[in-house]
Amino acid sequence: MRLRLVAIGAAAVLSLSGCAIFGPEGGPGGAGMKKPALAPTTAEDAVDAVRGADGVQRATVTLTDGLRFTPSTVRAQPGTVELTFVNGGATPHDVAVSDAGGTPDTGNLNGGARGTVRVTVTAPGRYPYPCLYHASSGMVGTLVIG
Amino acid sequence: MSVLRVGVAVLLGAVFALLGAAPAAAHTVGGVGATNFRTTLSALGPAVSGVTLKVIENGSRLEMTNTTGADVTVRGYADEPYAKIGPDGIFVNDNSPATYLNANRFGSVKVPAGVNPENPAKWRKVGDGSVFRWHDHRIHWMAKTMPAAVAAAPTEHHQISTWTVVIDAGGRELSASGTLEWVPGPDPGWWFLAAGGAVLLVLGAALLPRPARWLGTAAAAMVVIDLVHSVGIGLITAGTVPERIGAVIGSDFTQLLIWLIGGLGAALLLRGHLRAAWLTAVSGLLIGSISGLSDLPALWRSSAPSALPADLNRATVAVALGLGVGLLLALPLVLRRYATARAGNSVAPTGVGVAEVDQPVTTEETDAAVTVASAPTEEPSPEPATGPAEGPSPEPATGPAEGPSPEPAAAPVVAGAAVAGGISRRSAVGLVAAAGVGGLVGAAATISLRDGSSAAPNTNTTGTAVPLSDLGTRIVPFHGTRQAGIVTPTRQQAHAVLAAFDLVEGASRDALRSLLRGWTAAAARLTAGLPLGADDNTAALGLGAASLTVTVGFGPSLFGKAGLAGTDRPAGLAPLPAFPGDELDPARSDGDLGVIIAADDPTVAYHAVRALQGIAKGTATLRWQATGFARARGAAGDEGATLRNLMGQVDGTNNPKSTDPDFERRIFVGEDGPDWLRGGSYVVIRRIRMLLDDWDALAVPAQEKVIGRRKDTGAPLHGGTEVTPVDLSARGTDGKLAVAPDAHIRLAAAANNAGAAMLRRGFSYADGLRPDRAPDAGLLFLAWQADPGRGFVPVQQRLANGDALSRFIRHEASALFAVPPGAVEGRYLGQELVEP
Repeated sequence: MRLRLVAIGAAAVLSLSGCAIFGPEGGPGGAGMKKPALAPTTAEDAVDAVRGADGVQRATVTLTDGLRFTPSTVRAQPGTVELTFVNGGATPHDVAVSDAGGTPDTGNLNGGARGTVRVTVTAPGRYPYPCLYHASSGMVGTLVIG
Repeated sequence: MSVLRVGVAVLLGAVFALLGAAPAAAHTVGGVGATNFRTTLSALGPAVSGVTLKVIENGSRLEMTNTTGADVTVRGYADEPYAKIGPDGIFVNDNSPATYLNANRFGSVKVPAGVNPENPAKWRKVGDGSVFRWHDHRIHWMAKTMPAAVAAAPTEHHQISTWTVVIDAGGRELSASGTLEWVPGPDPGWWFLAAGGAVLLVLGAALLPRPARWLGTAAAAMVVIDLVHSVGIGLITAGTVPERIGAVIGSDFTQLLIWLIGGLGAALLLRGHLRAAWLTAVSGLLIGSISGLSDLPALWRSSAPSALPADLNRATVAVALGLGVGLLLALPLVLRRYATARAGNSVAPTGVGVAEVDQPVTTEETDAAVTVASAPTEEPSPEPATGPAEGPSPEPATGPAEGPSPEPAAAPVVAGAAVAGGISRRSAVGLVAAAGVGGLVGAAATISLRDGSSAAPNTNTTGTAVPLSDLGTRIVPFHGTRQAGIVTPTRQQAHAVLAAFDLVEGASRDALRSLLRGWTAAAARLTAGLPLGADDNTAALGLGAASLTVTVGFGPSLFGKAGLAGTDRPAGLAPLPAFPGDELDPARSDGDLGVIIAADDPTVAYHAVRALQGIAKGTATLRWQATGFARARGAAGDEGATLRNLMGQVDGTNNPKSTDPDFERRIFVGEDGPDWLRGGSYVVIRRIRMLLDDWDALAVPAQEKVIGRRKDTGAPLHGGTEVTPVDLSARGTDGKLAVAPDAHIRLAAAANNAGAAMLRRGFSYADGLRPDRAPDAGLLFLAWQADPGRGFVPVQQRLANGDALSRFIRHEASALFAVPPGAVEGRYLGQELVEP
């Protein structure tokens, strides 16, 4: 009985402290794994760009140390869109808006820095805005036109 | 208080201080310890002799070697030149952000202001030689949290992403591409048991007569095993000899302390100085708390930074840890024996001191005759003065990470009982061992059960805990913007039923609509594991969804029927051209409507096709049907391994990955397709019979020449592993092309087909014997692409005109379907086509 309690206790300690001891990948079977805070894409995670007096549609996107964009989707109508990217964390990023006739990018954005990309898009469609440094780790947002 | 005790106390204090200061950082290479992430380089092309690229240190870094006489440039994240390796040495571009970001594994740096990749390169020399290594953040997972798919199912294999690094060499643009995968590791239960066994061995040794020699042997074994483990890490570390030696020692000198203290302790113990058990205990504590703990994940992760085979590396971790913990826990046992011996010796003065402790050590040093004389003092004393509450507990560990317990648990009670009842020492050892094994089994079982709640009800009496119901309860979401069954589920199901239907003569548009509506509703229920109600034939009653997917497509012949104009047929849906060597059977080809049904259970799959047939009654009739199979879930040790076809060849090594940057464009119909097909795909189905008798009569080297890959490993014939990029220009020692001019992989290579790519997701079939007694078996080839004219058609034209494999296969049936996008809830499949 006592041994069983010890065994269960040991397993519980292993699972509870999986992340603390064994890093983000966690203990056996992924116990204690460090999971992403946000669901990858949710409906609420999209905003509409706001059209200014000059006709340019603007939206601000925050870049996080979790290697995500908030919001991950910006909706706009065909025309000129200006996206402002604010690095809310400490990790550097460089955001490019691809497939919009070339790939204009913000250049390097250190923690706290902000950068702006202006594109003119006429064809409706989905235009990804990846972080050039972290795209393969899933740091890709989408500009939806139309 | 003796000098020795004070010394040991100081040493222990230092160790604990070190414990607090040094987090578990002992054994990593390039900042990466054991991990389930796997970075693979799958291609570097076109090949340039003298330029090689390697993934090193578990995916932490890339290593480029350039032995040509010209500069080779690696491009950074914004396509700018980042590093230059050439005859003058190695340079980095101070105007490339990569120069700063690539300094460490997680890119947690600040890029200096003014660094702009668009500015001209500002080269700075960083070294000589022809080898450059860098942390390329395109090839590994950068976030500190796990990918969502991995977090949802950590014990499953996942494709995380694909990566491309562009290299300029001699005026040519080389493209290195590869994948990042999540490969779950093994169940660590047995390794925990091995570690526990080592603990018990040491504890048992401490209870034997003359324990010093046994404990010394155990300590020496621990040091040697830990050395082997560390050398394994040093061997895989890239860099100079001092860097490699540094990797063997570890970043915080823990390893060095373990070997010095443990080695000294072992030497003294082997000479009979039982006092040295203190030293080996400290060494054991270090292994148990720092080095062993940080290496522990190697037991349950698929790869670890080590040149040793994975299981040998796991064995070194488990056994070194077990011996270390055993040596630590053995100390109180040894001390207890002295206390016991002293209590039984009336001549001894009061108080536990060094002099008393030394007495039995002297005994150990003497020859056999003296041992006999001193034997009575070694027997357990009936004197209860040394009750179980005294001193640290010698409780057998239930887990490798456990330190000394202040609680007097089972083992002292057992020992006490043994003493009181006059049971022999040998029996006591057995009892302790038995109790320990019970605890370990309990711990291992608890750990393995914690993996999944579904495992518990299936635990059977034989002790295996295979999560059987897991297979049945898996659901692949039906509703969505893409139809399931194309890229989902990631892991292809084990059974398939392919079928094509023809509309009955004069079927109306309304009839087609209600058929599609009915199929959509039925598919939504069946794929969720729900029965169809009164109309259900109960064939799948009691079965779960078993990852069922139902994928529906439209054939070329549908256009011109049910009120759909022939001119509305998209260009991509033009009937496939005839290929040389085709032996197509029209009765088993084509069709107005196609369905691809797949599940991990054959009955679930067949039940679904029967249900669709019932719904179609009166509107469409079954034209042909075929069943296929793939690898069953849980059947392979490596769930992520490439499937093998019935010829025994790995098939699908170079399949595009769902995370390729251009995957979407190559597999799914984009803006250039008709509205109703946007987000959909085209599937080509070919029934390819294999002339297995002819093939199997061929010697293996001849078979390998036909394919261009080794049969066993799947490696290209010029060497390497399955994922080694194919070098079509490589030549063997005989000067001939390593991959023959007519080899299958040469003709099928994307490089030879204007980059044509398709996602192959086929199933094997075996339908008994043909009239000539030859097996009617082969491959139900399924290929998905955005445009057959840029996918299957050009590749097949090339293959049909010279593939050495053509002699061993026959294309017997063929079909092409345009597969519309998925149905979101409230809509039905193909609604955009039939309700424009």
